[in-house]
Amino acid sequence: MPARQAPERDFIALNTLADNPGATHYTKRVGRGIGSGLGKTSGRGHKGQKARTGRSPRLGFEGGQTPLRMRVPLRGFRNPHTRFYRPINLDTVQQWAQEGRLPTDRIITMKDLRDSNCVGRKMGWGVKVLGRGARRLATPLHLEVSQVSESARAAIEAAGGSVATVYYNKLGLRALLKPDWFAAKGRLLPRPARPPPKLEGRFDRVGELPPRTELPAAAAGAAAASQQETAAA
Amino acid sequence: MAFRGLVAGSLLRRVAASLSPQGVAAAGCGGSVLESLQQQHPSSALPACFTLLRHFVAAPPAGAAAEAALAEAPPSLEDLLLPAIPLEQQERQGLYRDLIVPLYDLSRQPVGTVTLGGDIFDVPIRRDILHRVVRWQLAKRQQGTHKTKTRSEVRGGGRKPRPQKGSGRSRQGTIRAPQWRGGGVAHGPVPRSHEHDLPKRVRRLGLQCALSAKAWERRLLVVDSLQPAEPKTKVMLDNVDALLADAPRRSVLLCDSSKLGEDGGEVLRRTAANLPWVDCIPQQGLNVYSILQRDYLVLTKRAVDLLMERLRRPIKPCSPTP
Repeated sequence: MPARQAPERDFIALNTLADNPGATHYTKRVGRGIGSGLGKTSGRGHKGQKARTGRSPRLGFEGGQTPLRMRVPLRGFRNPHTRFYRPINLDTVQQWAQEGRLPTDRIITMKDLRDSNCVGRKMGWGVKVLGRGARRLATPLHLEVSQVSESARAAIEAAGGSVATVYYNKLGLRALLKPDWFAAKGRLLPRPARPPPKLEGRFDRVGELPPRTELPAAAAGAAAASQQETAAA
Repeated sequence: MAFRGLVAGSLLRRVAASLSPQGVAAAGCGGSVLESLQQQHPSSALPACFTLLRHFVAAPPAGAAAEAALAEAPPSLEDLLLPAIPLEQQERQGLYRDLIVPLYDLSRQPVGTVTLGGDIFDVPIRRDILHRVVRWQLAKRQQGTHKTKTRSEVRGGGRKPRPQKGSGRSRQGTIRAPQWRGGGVAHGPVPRSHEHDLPKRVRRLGLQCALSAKAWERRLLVVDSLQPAEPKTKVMLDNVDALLADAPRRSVLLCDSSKLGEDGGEVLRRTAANLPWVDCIPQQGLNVYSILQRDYLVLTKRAVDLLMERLRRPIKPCSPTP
């Protein structure tokens, strides 16, 4: 019995090609007769500024009368001093670490988080770790981030990890995330900046450049022991 | 389940092939590709690939089992890939499975076998991709020399044909206006290029689809050389007839390694020039339209090797994906 193969009617030839249904966008043809549905007035209605060629009045223009957005008084304000910290949750960090996308044998800095795409490109002033997935956290994580919520800190420390909040100003954060940029420009890395007086005491320490990523002695010993255990097992 | 693992394996191999020639070599000589990859690219995009792989190979319901699988050594590529099979035993298409085809000489006597890479000769056939590539090719080659004359380009018509008022007829300013007989054309064609862009990855996929289609239809032959014994069209005709012995029609594309290659070259082109149903093309010029235009495709061994090397080369040298 001959092995199965494509029947001849299914052979690919130039006359049997077709794109997927819906792949082609057809342009709207206006003014081409009653049957098209866009015949006489081409979908523009009868007479007036909007029926003519050229530009129609801008959005929100009410013919010269004070438009709504100017009639209503302003309300609220935008705080120019606000600092946005990119939120990231513990379950994501744990998943990344388990998949080997984040290191567990040294301190995870914000550069690691960014390089592994754990956080996106919009970082603002840094990263804040939040506590979603705190109850399921089992991996010991050693983090160095800008801010950490109370529940997240408790969960990390309960799981045998550590977390430190570090201050970077905008330039420092850029030097942390993209040190190669400074090297390419032939510049030195900036010196770490202290937080402004208003933020004093909100951070454990000032972020170093380049960051120090060795684990603290106690944690390093524990990590080595756990590795030996797994090796022995 | 097994099928998913296979797909993941082929995916991984494609990534490996695109990342480094050493990875491919490792795959060929039986070493664990994953290990070699990890050594070469400790911090590249590979973790994502591993994750994907794990999703495929780990048993979905048993979380603990999956954890255990993670702790063990990663499965080697050989476990995941389907073994190569002879082409006539291929029962399902698009499994990225290596295919073994006989190597013929010009009188259609088998002289050996050739293994065709599954990532090029057994990809899922997508008619839409082929359609797009063919349209792109045809649009690109369109000459675009079409032109009509507008009212300003038609000869004459400078004078006002009749007075503006008093004649009882309509107002007219020139006898070459579009509504006049002999007048210019409004919005007529102008010389232009009809070319449009198509991503290189789509073009490459189109070529892979076309090759896979010919293989799946059993209309792909691999020969050791396309150079006839004598530089005579009569000899070439006999050879091609022998190659197409079981074909219902005589329509074939012959592909050699290059225009000056040992396995065809000038002799092939001259001897086949007067055979109207035979096209000759060097490996570098192989394209979807030419393949689909002819029923059969005959490749030389050297052309197959060059083609596979070319189609596995990454499009962007530093890109993690092909």
